[in-house]
Amino acid sequence: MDIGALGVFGYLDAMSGAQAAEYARTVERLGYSVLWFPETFGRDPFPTAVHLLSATTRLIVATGIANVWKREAITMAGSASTVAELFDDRFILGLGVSGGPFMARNGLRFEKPVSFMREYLAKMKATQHKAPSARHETPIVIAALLPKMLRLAAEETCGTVTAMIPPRHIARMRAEFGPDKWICAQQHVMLEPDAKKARAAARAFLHFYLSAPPYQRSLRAMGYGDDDLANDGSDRLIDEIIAWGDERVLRERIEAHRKAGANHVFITPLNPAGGLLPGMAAVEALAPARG
Amino acid sequence: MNLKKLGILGYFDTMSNTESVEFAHAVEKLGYSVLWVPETFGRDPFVMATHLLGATKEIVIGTAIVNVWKREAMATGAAARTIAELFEDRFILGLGVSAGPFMIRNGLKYAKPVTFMREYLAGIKTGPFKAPLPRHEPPIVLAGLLPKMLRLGAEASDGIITALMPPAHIARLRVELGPNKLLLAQQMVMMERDAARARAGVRAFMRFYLNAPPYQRNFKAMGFSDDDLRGGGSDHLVDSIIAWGDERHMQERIAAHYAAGADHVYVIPLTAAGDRLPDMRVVEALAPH
Repeated sequence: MDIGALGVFGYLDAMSGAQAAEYARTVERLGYSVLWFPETFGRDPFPTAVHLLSATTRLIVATGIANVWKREAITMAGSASTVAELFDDRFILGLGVSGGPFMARNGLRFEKPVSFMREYLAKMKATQHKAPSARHETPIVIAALLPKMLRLAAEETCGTVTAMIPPRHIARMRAEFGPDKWICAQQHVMLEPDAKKARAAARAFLHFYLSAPPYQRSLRAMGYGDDDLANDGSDRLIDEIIAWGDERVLRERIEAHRKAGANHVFITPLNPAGGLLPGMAAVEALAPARG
Repeated sequence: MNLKKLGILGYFDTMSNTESVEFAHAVEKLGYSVLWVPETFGRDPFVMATHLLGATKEIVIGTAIVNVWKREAMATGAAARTIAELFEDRFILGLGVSAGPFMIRNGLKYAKPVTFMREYLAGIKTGPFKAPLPRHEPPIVLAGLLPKMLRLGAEASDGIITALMPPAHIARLRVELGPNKLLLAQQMVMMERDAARARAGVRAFMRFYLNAPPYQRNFKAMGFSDDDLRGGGSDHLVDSIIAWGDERHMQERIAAHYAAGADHVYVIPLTAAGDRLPDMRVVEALAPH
């Protein structure tokens, strides 16, 4: 699969099904290679993927990520194989363990995430799909922030999908990964030149992540202190995690990920006005088809 | 959702993508009310439902059935609501526990199916769904053969979907379910006038079911003997369960289910040779249009 250079993320649960299809058509027209979307506790990612793939003609659709605690490995493998057979070479399965308290709050168990993921991948690999096979194997990437999960991604999958990791740490990851694995780097972007407005919107958005243990650990491992994590993020943390400003700033940050070794970057376009609907001004400004 | 007209099941795991979509187009055009999608260890039923709903205009897609051991209740609930929001009033969630040995052979746990299903239904009902809701909740029906599961279906779901159950027992089920619950009756059909060929074809197909404990128990509960269950099924069992013969014979059997109280009947078209694709002669002969 040619994953392409620039993808885009969408919080589709904030949209109706019809709006999600329209968003997929728009990002395809604008030349983005991949539409990434998350699974939280809203829509199921597999019917959603089919819906988006049906609405478009060449766009790759990727889960960023599908939650491994919600379904058996054999089911995950079967669902991915079904989508991949229906839409040849247009589906990427991103898998993740999410965060413990968030899972527990929603009634799912969470224990030993790295061993669980290791066994999960092995079970998926051993699953026999008793139906027509896809022509191409589905690429699997895992969401990894911390060293053990990264090592697992390097050993057992096509690569990793990052979350809130600035370019300088992507370079470290590339060194660990070797040259052939995928690093799909997330970059939040906000087309808002006013520092005060941009940082306020960024803080509202980061509130959830800064209270989630795996993100806290990842941010600490990258050198942020308690002060950086307090009150929804210091200016330094916000400015390094979220590229806000004019189009040039946004493009430079994307370029920095590439230079650091990401083979694919996907923007998560935040809306300066808040909420989870994509900032369409940024989506249009950064569009690959625009040149 | 009008289910009065005949429905049909497709074994999509033996069809290609193109064949699956063509089958969906054909049965919609022929006036079938529901196209049922099974789940075993091949294609994902929610993926197929979405794909086939997108490829058609008005036919309802139902799962017959989604396996409850394969995903958490909240995941099943979310998948059903996702589809129901995308395709208003065109999706039915059929759920089942399948059979113990078959599950265990495929690496799934299987324990206390009725209790598990009771909790599972509660889990679907209360599960989180933080996305736009469908205008109507999708109907949920349970695959029920034996008394406890039937009772649970009557109490905690919208109705029951049967398997391998002759019309005489549908009448009994209707009494147990009361008048307001959905009763969706499966009927396997085979257009084959030659008795020897038809029965041989049925026996090859029935081996799986006759080795599965819940079906064995239900056959016995319906009055079949140990002898009836041997060797792929006695003539009596085969003829009672599967309507083989000419079109008139199949139509009579379907009518008998409706007369016995079924709200909906769906056929599974088999062939004596065990062909990979459904017998389109039967699909056309029984077409509601």
